[in-house]
Amino acid sequence: MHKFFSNRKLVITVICAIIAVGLIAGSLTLKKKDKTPVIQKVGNDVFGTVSRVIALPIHGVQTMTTDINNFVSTYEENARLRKGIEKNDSINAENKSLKAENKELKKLVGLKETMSDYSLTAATVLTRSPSSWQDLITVNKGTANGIKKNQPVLAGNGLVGRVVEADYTVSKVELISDNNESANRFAIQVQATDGEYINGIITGYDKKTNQIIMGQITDKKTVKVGTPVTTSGLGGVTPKGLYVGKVAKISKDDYGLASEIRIEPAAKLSNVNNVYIAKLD
Amino acid sequence: MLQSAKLKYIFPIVLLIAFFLDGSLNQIFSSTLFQYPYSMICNLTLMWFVMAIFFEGESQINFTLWSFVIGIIFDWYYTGVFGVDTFIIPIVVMFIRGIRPFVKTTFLIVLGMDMFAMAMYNILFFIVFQMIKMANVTTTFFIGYSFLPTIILNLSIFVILYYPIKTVFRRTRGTNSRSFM
Repeated sequence: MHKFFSNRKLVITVICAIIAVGLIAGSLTLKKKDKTPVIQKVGNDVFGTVSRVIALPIHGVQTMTTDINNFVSTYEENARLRKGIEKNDSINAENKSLKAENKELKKLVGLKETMSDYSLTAATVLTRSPSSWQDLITVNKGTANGIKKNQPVLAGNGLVGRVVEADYTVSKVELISDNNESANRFAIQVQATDGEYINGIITGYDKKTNQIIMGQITDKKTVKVGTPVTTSGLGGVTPKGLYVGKVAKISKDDYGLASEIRIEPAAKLSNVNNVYIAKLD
Repeated sequence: MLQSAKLKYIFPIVLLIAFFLDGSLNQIFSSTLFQYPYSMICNLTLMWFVMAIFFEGESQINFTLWSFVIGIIFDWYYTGVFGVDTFIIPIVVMFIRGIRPFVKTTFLIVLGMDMFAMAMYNILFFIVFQMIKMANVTTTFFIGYSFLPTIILNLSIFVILYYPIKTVFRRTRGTNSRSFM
């Protein structure tokens, strides 16, 4: 062991330690900035391409198994869904006319673009970080497709996370289930029983019960279990009206001061395969 | 000696494939691997390193260099936090290389070394992430939630892949090393 602490090796060890600390500190600061450095982008695109090629056969097998599984359950589902389809059609038609009316009214008032005007970009998930401490996924769309840092990401019909790093052809998405302290939080709102909206933000995620925690709530009003929760558009980055989930439980927070709302997420966070990235128009 | 060159090319190619497979497998089986209260991480890269260290024969692969390269790519592509795996993987690889001359190359010992490497890697990774406030869990929780499940998963993969990989090495590491096994 005494050989290890010979002068040269000790110096190298110390230098490596210093470099490591510097790099970690540097990358943590870079994460908070709006844009990803060019070198990091280029590297990620190269790795993303290789990763895509390697993942191709595996994704093929996966699609095949899901296809087979889907095929089995299709018959049952078809019978069940057929009942609801007519009702859906009428809602759809109503929605369309309401949208058109909304547009006209907005034009009339002179409003240009509001927080509820957004478009979706579809993307496929390539990899998930092999780390227990970060719920990071890499998707196959990047700045070339108009993706920017901090844009919200949806899967199925609910919010799942936000873009934390946008490269040219791939980008990294941090899921809501990631509990690190530096994670950005979403501004969300829920309708109280008296019809008014209560604002708050997503303050955490409970992995045990698979529930989103809504904290920093502005008003003390009663909320019904089962009320839908959407993004509020406050802050100016996230569009308004993205579906988050349903209220599952209302309780006091750890200190008993403010109330805390538990939300059953609409999307399944442990298994995210196809996502939509929302951008404001 | 001409034959021993083969492994020199195969090693980095498989290393990169294993590296990207880790991410893809984690994604595809995410509903099984990341189901509370467990979080298992498939780590084929480290397993490939351990196997290569034990079965390289006389191929003279530059392990320190490759572990650095893989470490940097890991931080770059997977976590976005530089300087973590860049140093942890080389430390683990150098450690295993240091132990190697003192042990025999039997199934159980290579299995033990693989377990040791996984344990060391996960503990170091956890310590760093705890320090930069990205893990936010207690040590007890870490052991039950991530540490033990990860090691169990990787050891099962190791048991399945041990003989196939060993055969690959014996066929590609060159003629001079037959005396090893």
